[in-house]
Amino acid sequence: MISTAFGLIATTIYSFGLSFFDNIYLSMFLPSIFLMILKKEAIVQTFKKLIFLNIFIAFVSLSAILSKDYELALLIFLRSNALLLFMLLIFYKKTIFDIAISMQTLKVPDKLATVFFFVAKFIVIMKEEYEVTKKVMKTRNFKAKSNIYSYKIYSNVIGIIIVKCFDRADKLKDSMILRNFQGKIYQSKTDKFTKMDFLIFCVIIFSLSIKFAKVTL
Amino acid sequence: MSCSVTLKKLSFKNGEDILCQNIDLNVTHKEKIAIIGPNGCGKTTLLNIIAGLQKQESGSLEIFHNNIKNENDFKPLRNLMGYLFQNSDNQFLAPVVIDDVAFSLLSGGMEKKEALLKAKMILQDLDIEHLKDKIVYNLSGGEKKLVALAGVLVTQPKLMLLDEPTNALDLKMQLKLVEILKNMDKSIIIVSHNREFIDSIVHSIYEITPNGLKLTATPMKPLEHSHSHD
Repeated sequence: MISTAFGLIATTIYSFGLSFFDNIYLSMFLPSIFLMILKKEAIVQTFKKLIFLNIFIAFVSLSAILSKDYELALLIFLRSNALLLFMLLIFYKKTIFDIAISMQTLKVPDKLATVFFFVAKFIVIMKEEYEVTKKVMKTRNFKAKSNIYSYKIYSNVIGIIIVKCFDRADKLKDSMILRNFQGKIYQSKTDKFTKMDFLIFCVIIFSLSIKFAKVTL
Repeated sequence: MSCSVTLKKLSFKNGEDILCQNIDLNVTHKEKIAIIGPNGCGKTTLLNIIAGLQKQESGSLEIFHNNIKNENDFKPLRNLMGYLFQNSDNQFLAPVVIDDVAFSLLSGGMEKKEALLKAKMILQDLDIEHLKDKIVYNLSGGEKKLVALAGVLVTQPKLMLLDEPTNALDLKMQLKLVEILKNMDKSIIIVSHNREFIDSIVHSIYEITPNGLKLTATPMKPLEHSHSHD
């Protein structure tokens, strides 16, 4: 069992470690390989998500390719993938609320933890509203086409979601007034660091220390 | 006679138009009343005015014999009042059930251990202790409503304001809520369209009209007091 609080620490260390290297070594994938061994059931889901996220990485790498800096393009591509793969695996099955809770364990300032919780809450709200609107569009026989009408509908949908979020924000403010909100969210649950966390920490440090199997073009 | 809420000649607006005027109401100690009316007639607005979330256009408002003139007058009364939102999601201020229920106690300065114990006790009373470590947003509609109710009850309010409490509840959950509210020794104001539900709980039902409140039914007579209404 890996604690979410450790997940945050590990991600910070690993991402800093990766960012200081000018080259990518296969050994840097060791933490992800280790996590895959620990969470075999997560492998398929994780790679599916990673492929989707690679659409965005491809755009960034493309800008380097266009300026004919192929080494940089490869570095961006592999570094981003190494970090995303690690994050997807370490936070597998963790919700955004688990991360919000773990902030208290890490003694993050109250205001920051509270803001993070409200961000999490509004991500859930926006997702819910989007799902509802998607269903409405389906039941009302909307067919997406590449024309002005479809684009208009999409812009309306985004507008509706924003308006609904404003409304929910108003309600949240009312709840804060009624429930005597003093700028802090109180949490009783805290994360406990485990032996597995320590093991993963060692693997991260080891993988960042050795420079084995350099990846070049 | 001790009064929880007294409204005199109250009026309120919706935009530029007066939505309702001449609202007179006395809700006495431990009395349960319901406010009904068509959509958009101002039921929730009236509840919001009583809760101090909105300001009336004219008229006077007294809560527990305190004349309310501005928002600051509500502050010492906040813990005596509980408001149950129509959509429970709007009410939650903490991700985990037990933390959300204990929220008002902790923000009021109560010791963590004591607050959590009280929260646990209220969850036991409502028969939902098994939900205590769950994330509030992952609960069913009925469970969310009960958790929100627990968050209100934990401060032991003397006056409860319930906005469409049966919204999104199935029949079984509605009956459970009826039992909980029926056995409650508090002043309660319910805004609802569900006539069957309010008939089984409240002492009096008022219909909101553009020219004030009209007493339409008295399903259950109030205990040991007579009800006055202008």
